[in-house]
Amino acid sequence: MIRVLGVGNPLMGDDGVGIAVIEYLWRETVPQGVEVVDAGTGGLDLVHLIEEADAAVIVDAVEMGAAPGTLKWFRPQDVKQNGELCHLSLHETRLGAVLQWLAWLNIRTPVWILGIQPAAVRLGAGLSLPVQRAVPQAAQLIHEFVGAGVSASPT
Amino acid sequence: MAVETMAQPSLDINVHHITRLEGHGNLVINVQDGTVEEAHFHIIEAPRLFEVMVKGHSYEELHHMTSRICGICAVSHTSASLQATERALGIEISEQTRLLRLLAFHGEMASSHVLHVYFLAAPDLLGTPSVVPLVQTHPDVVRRAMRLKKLFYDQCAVVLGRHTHPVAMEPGGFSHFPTEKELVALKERLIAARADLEATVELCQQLPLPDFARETEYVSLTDPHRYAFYEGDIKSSEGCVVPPEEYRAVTNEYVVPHSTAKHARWHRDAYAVGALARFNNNHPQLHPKAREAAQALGLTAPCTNPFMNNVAQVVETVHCIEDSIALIDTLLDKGVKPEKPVPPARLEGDGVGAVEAPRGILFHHYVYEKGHCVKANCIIPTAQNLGNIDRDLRAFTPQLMATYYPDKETIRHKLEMLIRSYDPCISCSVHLLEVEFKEGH
Repeated sequence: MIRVLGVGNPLMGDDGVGIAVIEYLWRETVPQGVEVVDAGTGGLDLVHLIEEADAAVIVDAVEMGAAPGTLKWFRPQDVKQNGELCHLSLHETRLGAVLQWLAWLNIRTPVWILGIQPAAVRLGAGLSLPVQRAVPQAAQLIHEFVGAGVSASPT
Repeated sequence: MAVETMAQPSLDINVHHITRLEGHGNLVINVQDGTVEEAHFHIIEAPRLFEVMVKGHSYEELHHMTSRICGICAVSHTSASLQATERALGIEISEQTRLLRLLAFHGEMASSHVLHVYFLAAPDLLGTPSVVPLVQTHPDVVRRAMRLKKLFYDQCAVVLGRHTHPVAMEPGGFSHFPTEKELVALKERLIAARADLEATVELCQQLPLPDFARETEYVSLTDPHRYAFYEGDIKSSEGCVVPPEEYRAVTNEYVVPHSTAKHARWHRDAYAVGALARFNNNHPQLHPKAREAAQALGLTAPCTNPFMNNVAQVVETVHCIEDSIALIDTLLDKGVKPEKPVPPARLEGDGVGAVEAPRGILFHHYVYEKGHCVKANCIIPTAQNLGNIDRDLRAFTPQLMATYYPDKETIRHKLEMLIRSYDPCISCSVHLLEVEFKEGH
């Protein structure tokens, strides 16, 4: 089973784009053989959600230094890990730490990340216009990706 | 003989970005000539701004929004929110709803405690910089932690229909119900987890906790029927009990110049909330196995060592497992029926919800007009603990300086450990991933 996991907080502007993509998929069509999950800000809960799946796609707002709304596929191994982990509070267990946990626990589930560049992450519900426009595109990319089979690397 | 005057020690610790988020969670310690001039822990409180966001929304939406305040305490925020709404709108929940909420609550409480004890407290106490080296040196310990965490995470999922952010909890009831098969399977896993809990108690026995104590006031909920997590009146260790509606007389929030977050005080200049406060106030109501664990761990009430909060969390986790098994037995005996949520008796009203989130008492207060929220207030446990943390820092610093001065790094580390023992809720509303791609990607 392939899990598509939307991550983020809809109360924090564009940080909620991962959840918006999940809701869009629920509204339109969920690809066959795929479980679509609103994983919110569950932190290490993601480890369990990924561990149980045959393959996982994480959709999240990612600060990539790109234009707002830019979509980019990548793998955990494509990004530099800084080795830091939640230091003072469990509330800061963010996606970077979750990806490191997968490696440390030797969880071999293949993971792809569809990153969406946010314009603004601040308290307040609602997405910025460029990020709103990226939502259907992200859903389309996910359909194409799971339709092609996850063994193929997305372009 | 000439007498040499020893210079009094001075110390300046100013740790910014402790949490890697600018402006959040700074630690400031300033000692001049042996006198602690400043001892503060700063946070920015997101729920304050959140209160503005919920205004104008329908009573059917508020708990969904509040569940997003925190991914770790989502059941707590949702429960406090639902209680506030139900009290405001005259909704009386059924006994089945209460039992299911208690069961979900235990799942969240135990999951949070396991994370805190294993991933934040244990590395400090075992002398590693984080949990990461433990993956290599103590893989069985880390695996056990993840196994327990998964069990409690699944407990929430069985009751609430999904994992993080409990959509199945609604004003007046539930939109999802666990099957008998799911409850039986969960009970079997809880029984099997007793061995992991015993190992956790044994691990905790080996952890050297700093010897520090400071008398303070402990505040928690209290419930005549059970060890209070989900509901109850507000109890002080000073010998006073008031209903949740009087929470403002308890928190007495006031502004301090060094922080954007308000501080709280009741009978003393500060009070503590959380597992240790609950234990001190309500320990006779713990399950006998949890009381046995407390005895094995040397935890007796009244305990005034804040580091023992970690131990109280382990004791409460034992209680959660045992009480969850009992709750499942009751639910199986009665049979879970697909009840419709109880509708509101009115669309106007004022209600306060008070629950024990893992880190302590949490208040939500709403005023409704025509079914829409016109006023909201939310006070999180960490905000109530801030004044107490500052006073602990102030008292602990001279003790540390007497032992470790001039080793500033060790002193800083011990002070951070003290803060970690409270597991403050700092940056729960943002989790943004920032990446730097490897060359060529």
